[in-house]
Amino acid sequence: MENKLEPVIGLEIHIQLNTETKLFCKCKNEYGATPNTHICPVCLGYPGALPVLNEEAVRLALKVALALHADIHKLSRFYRKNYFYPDLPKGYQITQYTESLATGGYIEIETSKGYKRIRLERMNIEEEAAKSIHTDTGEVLLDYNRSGIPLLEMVTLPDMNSPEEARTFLEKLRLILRYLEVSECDMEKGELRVDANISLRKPGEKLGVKVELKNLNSFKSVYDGLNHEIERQKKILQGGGTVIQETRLWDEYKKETRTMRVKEEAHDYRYFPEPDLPPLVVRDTEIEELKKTLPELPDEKLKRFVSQYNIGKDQARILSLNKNLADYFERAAQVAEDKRLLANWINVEILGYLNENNLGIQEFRIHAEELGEFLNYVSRGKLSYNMAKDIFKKTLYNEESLKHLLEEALSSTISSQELEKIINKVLEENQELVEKFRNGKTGVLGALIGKVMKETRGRADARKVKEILESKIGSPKT
Amino acid sequence: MEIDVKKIMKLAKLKFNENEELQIKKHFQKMLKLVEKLKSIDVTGVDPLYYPHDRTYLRRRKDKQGKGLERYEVLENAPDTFTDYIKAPSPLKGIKKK
Ligand SMILES: [Zn+2]
Repeated sequence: MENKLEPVIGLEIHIQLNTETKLFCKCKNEYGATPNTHICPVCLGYPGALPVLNEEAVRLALKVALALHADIHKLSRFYRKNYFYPDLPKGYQITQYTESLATGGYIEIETSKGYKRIRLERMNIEEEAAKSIHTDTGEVLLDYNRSGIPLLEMVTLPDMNSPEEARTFLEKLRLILRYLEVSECDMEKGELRVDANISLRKPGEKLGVKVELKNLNSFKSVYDGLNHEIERQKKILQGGGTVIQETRLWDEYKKETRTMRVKEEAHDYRYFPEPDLPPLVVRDTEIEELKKTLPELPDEKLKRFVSQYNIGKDQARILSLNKNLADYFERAAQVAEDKRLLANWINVEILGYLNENNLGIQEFRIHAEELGEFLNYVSRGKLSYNMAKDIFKKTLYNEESLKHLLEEALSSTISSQELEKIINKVLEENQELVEKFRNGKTGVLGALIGKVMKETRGRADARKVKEILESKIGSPKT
Repeated sequence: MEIDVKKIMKLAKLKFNENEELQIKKHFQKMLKLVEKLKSIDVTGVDPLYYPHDRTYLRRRKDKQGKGLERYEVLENAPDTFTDYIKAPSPLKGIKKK
């Protein structure tokens, strides 16, 4: 009795491209400006205004296509997608349709069952609609600053089988887009938007009726919304009912999905080629040039960090999750002799501090090279790990200079000759404790360490004192 | 080919009375006849003409900011405004909200 239902998930993603100006006009592409200040006849849809394509938008879109192993089409075309809505002043959106910028490609994600490729269906360049605010009185307020911002539309194949996989996919996509400097992908600002298609099926059977899920405004929404929708569909199917094809909205507060519109009539967008824009032609030379500008991507970086610096995979992963952090590590690694110590230090001491204070590595006060030098005192045994930690914390929280604190610590650290002398003196003066130790009362070692530490006025490393003491008085008799 | 004027009205967000509807239907039928006539021409071996010009590829412009319109000019031209925004009737009207 195989009654298990498997979720099948595909995503449709919109990414705002990080250009200076809009897709078809010279208005600034800026989030959060005073409403209706970056507007012109083109993005307001005035009659007679003509669109002129922004080369940077094409460049960024092609970078993504290359990084995700998609096939870039030498010739793609813009179309008009016709519908009436106040946020679309022309009455149509300029988008790509059957002749996409790129098709295919994939992103590899790590799942509990190993690596998995999520395949992409297509990538299109299109223009953004204006921002609309719905009032309580049944009107809509429009800010056309957003109208015409360049978007990259990306559609995946239904290759994801759990909300977890969908979230992992999105995290990976965001990471790559940040590496490429194509978009910051801040979902709160709408820089990355996600709709999901979801259906359930018994494994091996054909796809079930799919529901489109909208209003997924954060990674958490994607995850929670999908989970709730899966439960809803499961209940229907297990109760012998049928799921209807519709669009549903995720309500983050009520924790439920609800009907937005039933597809009683298929959308009729009456697509036709945009007569104002000849085909977009991408030449081989352009692609070759672009390939040279592609940065090392997260997966490659992770692998290289492990092999080049001989650090653990988990540490390498954390470093590769943030390009700036990875760069910081590499700069410090030019100086630091112990790369494992360095990786660990960044992951524990620095990330801990940054997360606690909600800071980015760019805002971190200690330069990478300075950190590298500092840690060399630890790896060369001139500074204990714990002392280094203390100094580091003092530097960060009291805003004291690392160099100054380090000098202070080093000058106050006892020389090994002096320490040796003190230990000899303590052993001389405490013969009976030494005897007790040799007779098996190992607990007295603590008292001896305490006496040495007192003599050194705390300048010695207790661990080191213990080591020397043990080597000097030998092991207890049995 | 039968013309569904009601659907066209809906898509274009336009309202007509019965008389107008009939008129429009006639117009459309005339146009369709012309298209049918064009369709009877043998075009084998002729590439489709997408654009009314012979530019074969799209030129791209530099990503540099240029002067747009002043906000006050645009707001003055709008039928209705609210603070910095252009105001329009809600497109959600008529769609039942739960
Ligand atoms: Zn504009």
